[in-house]
Amino acid sequence: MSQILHVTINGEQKEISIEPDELLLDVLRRVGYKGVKRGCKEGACGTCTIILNGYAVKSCIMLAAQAENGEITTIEGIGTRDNPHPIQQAFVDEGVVQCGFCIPGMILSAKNLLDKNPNPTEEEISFALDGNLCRCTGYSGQIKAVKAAAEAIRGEK
Amino acid sequence: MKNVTEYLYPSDLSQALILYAEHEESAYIAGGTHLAAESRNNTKRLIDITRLGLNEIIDGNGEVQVGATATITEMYSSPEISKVGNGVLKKACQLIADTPLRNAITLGGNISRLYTWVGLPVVLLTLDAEVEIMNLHGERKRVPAADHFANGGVKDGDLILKVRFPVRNAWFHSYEKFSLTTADYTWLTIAFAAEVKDGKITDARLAVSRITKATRLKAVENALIGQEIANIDVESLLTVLESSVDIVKDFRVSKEYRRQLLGVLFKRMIQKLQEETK
Amino acid sequence: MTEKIYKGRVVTKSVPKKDALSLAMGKPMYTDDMDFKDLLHVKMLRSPHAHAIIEDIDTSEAEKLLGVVDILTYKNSSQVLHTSAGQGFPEPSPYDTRLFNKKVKFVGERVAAVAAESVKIAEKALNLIKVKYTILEPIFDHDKAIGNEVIIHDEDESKYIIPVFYDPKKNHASHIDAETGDIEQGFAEADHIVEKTVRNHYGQHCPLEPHISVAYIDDYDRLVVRTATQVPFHCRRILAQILEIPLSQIRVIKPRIGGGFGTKQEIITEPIVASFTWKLKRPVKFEFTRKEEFISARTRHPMTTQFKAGVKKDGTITAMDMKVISNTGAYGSHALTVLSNTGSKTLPLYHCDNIRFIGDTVYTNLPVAGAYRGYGGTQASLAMEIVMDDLAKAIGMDPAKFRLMNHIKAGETSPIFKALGEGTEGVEQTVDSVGLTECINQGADAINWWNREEIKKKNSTDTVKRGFGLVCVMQGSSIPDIDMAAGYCKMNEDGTFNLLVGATDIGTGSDTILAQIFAEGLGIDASDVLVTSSDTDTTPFDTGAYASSTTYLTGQACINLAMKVKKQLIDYTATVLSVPKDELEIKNKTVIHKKSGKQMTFAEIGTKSYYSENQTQIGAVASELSKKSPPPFIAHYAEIDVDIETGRVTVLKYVAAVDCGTPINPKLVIGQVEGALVNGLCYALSEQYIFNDKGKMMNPSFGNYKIMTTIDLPTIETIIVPTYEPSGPWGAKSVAEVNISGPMPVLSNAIFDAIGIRLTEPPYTPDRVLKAIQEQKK
Ligand SMILES: Cc1cc2nc3c(=O)[nH]c(=O)nc-3n(C[C@H](O)[C@H](O)[C@H](O)COP(=O)(O)OP(=O)(O)OC[C@H]3O[C@@H](n4cnc5c(N)ncnc54)[C@H](O)[C@@H]3O)c2cc1C
Ligand code: FES
Ligand code: FES
Repeated sequence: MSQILHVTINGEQKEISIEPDELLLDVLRRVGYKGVKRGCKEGACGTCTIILNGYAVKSCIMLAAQAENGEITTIEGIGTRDNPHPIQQAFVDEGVVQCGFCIPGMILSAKNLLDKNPNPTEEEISFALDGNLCRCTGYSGQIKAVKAAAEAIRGEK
Repeated sequence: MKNVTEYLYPSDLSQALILYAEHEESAYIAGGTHLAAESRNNTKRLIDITRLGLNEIIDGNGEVQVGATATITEMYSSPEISKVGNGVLKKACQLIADTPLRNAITLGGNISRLYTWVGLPVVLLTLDAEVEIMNLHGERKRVPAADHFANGGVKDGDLILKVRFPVRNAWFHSYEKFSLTTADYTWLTIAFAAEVKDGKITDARLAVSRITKATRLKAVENALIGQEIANIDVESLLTVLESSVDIVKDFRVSKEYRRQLLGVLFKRMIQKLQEETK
Repeated sequence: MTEKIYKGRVVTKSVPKKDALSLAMGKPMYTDDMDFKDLLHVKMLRSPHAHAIIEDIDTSEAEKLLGVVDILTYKNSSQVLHTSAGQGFPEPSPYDTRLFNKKVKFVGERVAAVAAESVKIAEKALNLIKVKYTILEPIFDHDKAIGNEVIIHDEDESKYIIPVFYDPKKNHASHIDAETGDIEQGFAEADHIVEKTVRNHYGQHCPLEPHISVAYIDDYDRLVVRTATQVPFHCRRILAQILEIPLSQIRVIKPRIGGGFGTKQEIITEPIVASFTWKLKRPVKFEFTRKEEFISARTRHPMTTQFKAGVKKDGTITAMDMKVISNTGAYGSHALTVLSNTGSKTLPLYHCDNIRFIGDTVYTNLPVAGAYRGYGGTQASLAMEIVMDDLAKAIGMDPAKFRLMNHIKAGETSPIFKALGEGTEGVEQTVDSVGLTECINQGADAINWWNREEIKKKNSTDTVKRGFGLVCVMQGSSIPDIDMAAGYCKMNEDGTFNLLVGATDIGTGSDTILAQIFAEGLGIDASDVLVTSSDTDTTPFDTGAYASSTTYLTGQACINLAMKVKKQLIDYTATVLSVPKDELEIKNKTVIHKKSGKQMTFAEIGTKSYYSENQTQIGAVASELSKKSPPPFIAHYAEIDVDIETGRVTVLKYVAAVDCGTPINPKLVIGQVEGALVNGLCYALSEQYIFNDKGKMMNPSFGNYKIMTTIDLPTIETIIVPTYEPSGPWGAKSVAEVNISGPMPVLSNAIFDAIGIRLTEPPYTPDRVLKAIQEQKK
């Protein structure tokens, strides 16, 4: 039985017709949020990470219906070319976007951290990114990038 | 979740129970991390229990009460939780899965069924926590963790409301998850707690999971009681330990290895106990 | 020797990667990010048996299911024998593969493909297909495969299309031997001989984006395949071969792709969507699940490598003898070339006149191996670098000093370059840039190598032992005499350039690197170069992203382009300004005639050449054929702890010192180095295929096939040691592959240093390490 999902996505209120067994990942991609990636569909890679009600979660092991009345942020919602989010900018500046497939999820995990903790230690950054696999980079540049982004957000850079 | 046809949002507890009772193939859904991933499942109706105010963490009277739908992250970052068992509960939370999963996994979902790989049951056991459950008739009962797990977790329609964790800071507590990579499924989870008075162990809890379903090892606990901290007979304890677990098959790692690992981790916990109570 | 170092204006600078911001904004740039109307979805029925004959297959029930549009099996699909290896033509891999076979040869082999209106329907249909198998005895042990009574390819038709050894009736997919000098004599001269047999394991590339292809028919009724591939041109050729349609009817486009590492060199999803689309004239998509990625994409070739070497007391290596048995799984993708590379990418590293290499690749009923970053070098380095350490130990020399003494130096050659090529003879070459001495020295300082005994003593306890390890590794840059790459460019009216290359940026940043190389040649900025790549209709040919070739080879093609255009700019300006050509120079995007003070900016040239004076299109086509394959060199160091009670190996610090010639874009170089070495660390420590006794992989998921995340990392330090490679673009060599091969041997060496136990069969998981410790005690 289809139902209507009421959600706010990147600040826009939406009513989306969904099936009760549909995964949030599939719904988001279906309605055009292609920045949400599908790397495993088993909750183990993090490429499908979004922010729901202030927390980074994996949208592939979550039903769309769980997001009812929720607020979702996807990668499309945090910056523009002229005004990228400081984390996006830092990832570009540090040269840590390789194939890019892990990057939206990684950036949203980082945002989830910095929104709550604007001055994280390197360990806290590692911990916050531990759900996002990246096969291209070896991670250490991305940890640096998050640190740089935190500084930028705090206005230190 | 291939067969689900309805997803419902009850507005209070009693409505949740009614919705559940109405349909034979109902299930409560909290974080969804297990349910959403499962493909072999007959559930037709899902009842969302995350909007019932069941996620409070309350500090009260020598115990911390944690609502069933509190997420692992909410627990991990709660100052109340760090007080429990000298931080042992917080450590257990830290070692569950990874950040975006911890943001979704709930306390209730972690302890409702006997998933052997999950992290919290062993600490519930060594802390003598109580699981507060409401059955389909709206009756509340408090079930000691040991009984809860021994009985195989929740029964049909039982709704976990909260868990009461005794603070128990006077005890020694230790917790280990041994896995291949940090965010991996565990190979062996072990929690140990001991009460020490006048240089002697007066009470003890030891629980393991993954190598078997989450369970207390009472024979070892009994053998510990009465031992002097300075002269703990580790060798004979290890013998008891070995004979008190029947290690289940795990295609990733041999029984033989896990048998040895269990001994090493336990021995190290004893050593830590000795150091800390010097 | 001190090397010339190139300091560029645009190269050697970390300019931002062209696609980085778009990717960081989540723009819809990958294969699956484009929506197609009336798209059909494919699901694949796969063999549950490792070795079986399909007696009958009945798809009638599945076809009746509403929404099922078509089903392909061996009965109704192309039966063209081919190789999925995705190499140049004629391919050095056996033609032993069909889209669907009557005889299945590994768990996971394609049996039937369903195209349906939705994924759900396609999945449902799979359950309705009835297959009757006769199960055959399988063979899994590659050491016992040759001449085994179980014969995997007994259907008679499989063959190579180049004249090389092939004996499928004996499960023997390739054989190579090469010998230089006098091996017997070499061993006779040795004071010490060390021999080790090592076995590396199955491992997967794990690109975060699984294999995915979409095919559709365009407005000219041609077949367009949008696909995550490393080799669009080979893909087009092989599709034409399999579908038996003219090549001109096919266009292959590679959008952004989510990692490749070799596995996307394979042509495996494309023929399925192409077959459906060509037949049904509808868009069709096929995306691997993560499980399919593990069981039916490609893996690293597991090998048994026996390596024996002799050394004199003074440190001279007198003989090296390598014997390899390589397991290609059920099909021979890259069977021959990975094998030859095990020798050719390792044996030239150290001075030695007397060398023998004997290699055999065998078929087994296990998943199919293929190209994987490191390409044989990874496997052989394990054996070689263990033995090098043991040789040093045997004569009481420090392993770093032993390597410093023996490694190949600039201006030298190795007989192996000629003796071993890509499955056939190779190409003689001298190596002209070798920064390995510096790599070893700088790496040693970074890890505190010379104080290691003190550090070990201070940090070891009764149960946890500290250890240090070192290895050196080399690779190549492109395949000499075979690889060709090309580019076009054209000038725009504002003085910017479009650069069109066939090269395949698979996340490596080659679009950016090539723009930098081209820009350097013309004195413009990388941002003045607009790159289009990897479209068989619009870009020129390139072999693709493999063999560490793009920077070196396509880069050189881009320099050739820049030089051609430079000449055109000067000619044009000379004509328009009426000044002699040889008095013109280019500076600041301007062609200047100093004597008269006349000049034309690139923008003026662009505009005038389009609209007003001597109108002409300034632009060029150029290509490059590889003539040699200069090796990049690395020294890797690791500092580790071994817990002797749990067997846990913890890497504390890892140092990679890298000579890749001129680092065109240092930040991207670091990305390549660290990405490869972390991949190597995971392969050495936690990645493994667990098979049951029926040949089925038990852990085909990221949940159970373990890759490190941020919290598992050691401290990593990358040191770039720039050298100048005269044959490379602005002095550059390759960097993408070589660093994956360090971790496996370096950890074995470090474990040995810590606890005196030699591990030769990775992964070094706690249970395996503990077992080795206990076996040693017995
Ligand atoms: C890739 C991956 C890795 C993981 N790694 C770990 C790990 O390392 N350690 C670990 O501990 N866990 C781990 N988990 C999580 C674990 O496997 C379960 O998915 C999780 O504990 C379920 O919690 P949930 O809140 O999402 O429950 P749900 O999926 O919502 O529900 C799970 C079950 O619990 C029932 N249930 C939920 N709440 C209640 C309640 N209040 N009363 C009665 N019944 C209830 C549901 O009906 C259902 O049967 C991992 C999960 C994934 C996907
Ligand atoms: S796609 Fe969601 S975690 Fe991999
Ligand atoms: S950049 Fe490719 S997976 Fe992270």
